[in-house]
Amino acid sequence: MDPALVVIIVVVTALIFDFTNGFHDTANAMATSIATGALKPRTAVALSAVLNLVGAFLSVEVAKTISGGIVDDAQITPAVIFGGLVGAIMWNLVTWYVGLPSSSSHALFGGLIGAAWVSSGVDAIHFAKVVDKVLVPAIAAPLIAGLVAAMATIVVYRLKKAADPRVSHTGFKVGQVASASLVSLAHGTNDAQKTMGIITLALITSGSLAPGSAPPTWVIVSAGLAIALGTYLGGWRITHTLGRGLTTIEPAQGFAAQTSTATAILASSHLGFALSTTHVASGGIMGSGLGRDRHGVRWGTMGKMAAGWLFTLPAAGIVGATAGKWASSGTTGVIGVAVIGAAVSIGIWILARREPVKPEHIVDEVAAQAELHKVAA
Amino acid sequence: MTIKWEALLQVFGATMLTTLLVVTLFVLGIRALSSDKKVPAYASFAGCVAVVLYGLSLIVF
Repeated sequence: MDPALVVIIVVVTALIFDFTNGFHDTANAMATSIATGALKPRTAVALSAVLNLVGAFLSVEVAKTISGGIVDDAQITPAVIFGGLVGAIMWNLVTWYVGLPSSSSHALFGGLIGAAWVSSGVDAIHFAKVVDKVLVPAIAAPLIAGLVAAMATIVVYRLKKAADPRVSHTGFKVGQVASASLVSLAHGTNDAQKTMGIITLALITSGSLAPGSAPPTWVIVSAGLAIALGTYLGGWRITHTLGRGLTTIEPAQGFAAQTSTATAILASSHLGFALSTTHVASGGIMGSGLGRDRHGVRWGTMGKMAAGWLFTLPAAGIVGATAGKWASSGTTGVIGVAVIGAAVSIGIWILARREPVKPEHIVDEVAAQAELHKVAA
Repeated sequence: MTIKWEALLQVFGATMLTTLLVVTLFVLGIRALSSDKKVPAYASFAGCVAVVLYGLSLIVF
């Protein structure tokens, strides 16, 4: 198959992945603001979409980590990347359908690493880089966000005692909108760039770009637009979550949690750490729960969730490895992977439409963390 | 295989300092607002905005 055609297929597939990423993650940033009535759903979703787009332009460090670090661009082909991407998308859709909390970012890394490993050998993976820029931040960033959120919550709750409750209630609602906006912006700086990195990597492996290049402008613009569009359209499902008691998070607590989440993601993006924004946001919410009530965290449930997080990388790796191996075998392989990927996607879409609003389908993993705390109101 | 502890410490330190600074300024602003001290209140909120803009400028430039 013409290599240029494969690159075009990779670009389109990567943008679809980016769209689903935005679709999947809107709720993380905006759900609590909508639930407390601080923002109308339409406004919240539009705001989040615009800020994701802006965030995509702020930095290219994470994109460079992906395009120039974790796999050896001299040893893989665009077809391998295509296989890894399809693996990541399928893993995402299946986990979304069965209601398993899973990180799109880790699915992407898992898919890419698995595909490169099986089709080009273990030498094609830069494990030191994977540990340094992906695995260690994956564990550290949620812990940092959690610890900081706990401190911030303690400070906020101590200091706000002296304030007039009515003023502070309205005030923190505004603060929550501001901090949720920062989370959306931070999301753009980390998640939109993963797609930019993948497209850039495909361009490098096909010889269109020199190794080590930063993403070209058209890549930045299209990745930013894809995630913004996904955010905008995905947000409509949030309205359905409102009946689910998300308001266990008070505005002041949400403010403290989101501020630390946004800061942790922005600082990590700046250093090129590619992390799961969902995990960091969950860490922030848990930390702030801990800051409000030390005995309020159900450690057992938290452990199970962490185990689920660790599972994503190898699982998506296996799916990506299978798809990558097949896709790199030639034209039939690429077509086969594309057909199966499309069939699975359409199948899940039809299944999901048949029973549209199952609670498991509403992917607000972060707000769900709030329910782990027995918060004394 | 080396883990860059320094970079992680940087993320931790920057996150802790910035977050605590922003939330403290914000709560102080709310306290001032609830005792009708308009000027200190707006000064605190302006401080929050300044910290956020400074942080973003570090990332962009």
